[in-house]
Amino acid sequence: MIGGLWPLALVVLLVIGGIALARRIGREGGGEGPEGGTLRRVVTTLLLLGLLILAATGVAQLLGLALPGGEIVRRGAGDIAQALALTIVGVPGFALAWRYQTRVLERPGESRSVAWSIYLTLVTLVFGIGTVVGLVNGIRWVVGVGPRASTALSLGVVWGAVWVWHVLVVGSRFTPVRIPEGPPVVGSAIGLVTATTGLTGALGLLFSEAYATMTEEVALSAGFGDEFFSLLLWFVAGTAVWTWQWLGDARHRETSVLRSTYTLVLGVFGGAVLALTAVGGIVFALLDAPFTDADLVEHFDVVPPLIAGLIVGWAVWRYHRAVVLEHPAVLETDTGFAYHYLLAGVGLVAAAGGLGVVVNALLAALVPAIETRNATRLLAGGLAGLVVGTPVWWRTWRPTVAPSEIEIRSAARRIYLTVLAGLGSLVGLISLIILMYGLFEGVIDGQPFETIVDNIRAPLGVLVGTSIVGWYHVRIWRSERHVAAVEVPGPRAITLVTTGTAGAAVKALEERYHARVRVLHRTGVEDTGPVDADQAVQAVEGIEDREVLVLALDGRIEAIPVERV
Amino acid sequence: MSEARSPDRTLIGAVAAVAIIVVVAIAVVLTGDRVVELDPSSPEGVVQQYMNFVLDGDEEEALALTTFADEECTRVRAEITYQEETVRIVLGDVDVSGDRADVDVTVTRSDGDPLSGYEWSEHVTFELERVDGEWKIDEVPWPFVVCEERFLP
Repeated sequence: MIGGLWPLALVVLLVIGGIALARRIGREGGGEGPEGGTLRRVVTTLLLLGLLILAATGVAQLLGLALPGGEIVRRGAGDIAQALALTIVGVPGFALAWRYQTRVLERPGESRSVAWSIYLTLVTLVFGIGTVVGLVNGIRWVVGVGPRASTALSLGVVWGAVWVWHVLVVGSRFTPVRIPEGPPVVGSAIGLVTATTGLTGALGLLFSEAYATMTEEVALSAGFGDEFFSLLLWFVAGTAVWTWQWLGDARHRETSVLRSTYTLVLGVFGGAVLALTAVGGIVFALLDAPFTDADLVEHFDVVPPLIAGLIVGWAVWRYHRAVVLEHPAVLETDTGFAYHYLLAGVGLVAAAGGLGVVVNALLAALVPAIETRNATRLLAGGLAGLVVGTPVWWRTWRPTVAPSEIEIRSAARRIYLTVLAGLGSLVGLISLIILMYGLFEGVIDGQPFETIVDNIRAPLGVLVGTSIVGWYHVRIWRSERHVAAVEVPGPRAITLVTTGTAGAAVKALEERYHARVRVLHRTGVEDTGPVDADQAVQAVEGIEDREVLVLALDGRIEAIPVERV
Repeated sequence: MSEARSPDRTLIGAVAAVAIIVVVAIAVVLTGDRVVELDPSSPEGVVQQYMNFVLDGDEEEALALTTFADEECTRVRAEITYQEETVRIVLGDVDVSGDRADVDVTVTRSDGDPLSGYEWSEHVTFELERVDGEWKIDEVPWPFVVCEERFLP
């Protein structure tokens, strides 16, 4: 019994030690340097988050035990002890740390710190996921389609309350200045992933059932209703979170690196991969149908869930395409280029991979076998990759249209070509090593020629695919080198001194001049609102010096060319 | 300007290479029936017949080609037939010495996602014995086994 208390004692010691450390650093904070401030913020952020998780878990467990049907009878003393310990240590601990934190946050400049924004973002990440998972499993239990989950339900409720309190009350009282879009973007991501997974699963299940009912004349399979309801519940929960966090918040914020990462990587890339993988599977099923040994009804039973993936992926992709390319001007910026290069990359990988499999199938057919089953499957799979990947690549990379000079010089294009070169070389080298291994093994072992070819056809296919892709892109890169290398006169580094918020102006300056932009805030002045982006760009116009100081103070914007001495 | 045309030529080259590979692959895979019929009285021919019976689910016929056809054993479906996807078997070394022979084959299978073209191979050996002038399989490698615990009384 006593032994079980040691971990708890350790937690208590850690918490007390952490508070003491934070207070001490805080007391010394009067004359602290920037490093001291950063260390203090990191320690208090972690401490605050840790205590919040302990306290919320303890309260949720207590509530779960009190719920009708709670596990109080089944589990006994251990659970009650744990819930009590977490609550008794966590709640006062968090209250103390929170009182300290609010005092600190009221100091000027404190809510500008990155640590505060990271804290709020982590709260959304941890408590957002906990709320969704807890509530869905809890509701499934309550309506009788899932296993007993009283703790999950109380966790969903308590963690949900903590999350909502942080978003609505804490976030608006101490609005973070750095990365303010962190919490809503992470919340949107949780909602989008949950809703997409739920809807794809629910529709897939529905279509599969419909297909089975039509082709085999069977009644609905047992458990269909429960599983369908559960998937639908995930979809509803995800949509609710997404509506609140995206449509209600992040949608209206300025574009930033984090927000673009969300729209491009999760929305565009994730949606496109989901939709195109589904199309690939459907194309494969069609191509392979004339050759399969299996019954056709059985052969096509993979298609219904793929149609669900296609519909959901397509909708997600098109919606985020509309968001990313909302303003036509975006097309000629890194964001617009990144949109097209991401899709070009997806198409290229699918097509090149498909080509590799086609080469593999060709070699397989050349080697005389003594027995084969479903030998055309390999070819059909490769062709499906090619058929799906090529049009996507063609429409987004537009190989017959000469790129503009802005596009050739853009960071997005250089990154795309570099990543392709790096990834291509890596894949090529690995397949070459595997190929050599198979070749040498066969020769040293004295295997017949057919066996050796059979051993190396897969890496040889990959090598052919990557070689053609690599050769094409190296030629492109070399033909553009002279354009990309030309020095454009104009600033490389811009320092913006302002009393307002500079997000839009920074982005506009970066995009117009491809320069590094640093922002300095004038101290002792209240936020004077956003800096006019167009005026800032105009002020720098015509300056050919390498470094520029932009003063955006008192409503006036002035650009001063400077140099380091 | 030759530089402006060079990307076009690159594109034509790449597209042509892909098109040729695809057309040749389709032609070869669809026209070539590359399953060789081996002499049924040779060791490798017996192995081919055995595998054919096993893959068609005809375990009794397959067993008749073994030295233990009359022994008691638990009949099982061969593991290889659980594989509903691609199966390719290529003949390796055939080593005959007197009344015993070893036949090596490479078995390549794939399942799961057809778009990835993922396959795996294994080299296995059949051991044969000449009984009354006919080759019979004495030792069956694992994915083709249809008779388990054959030494049970």
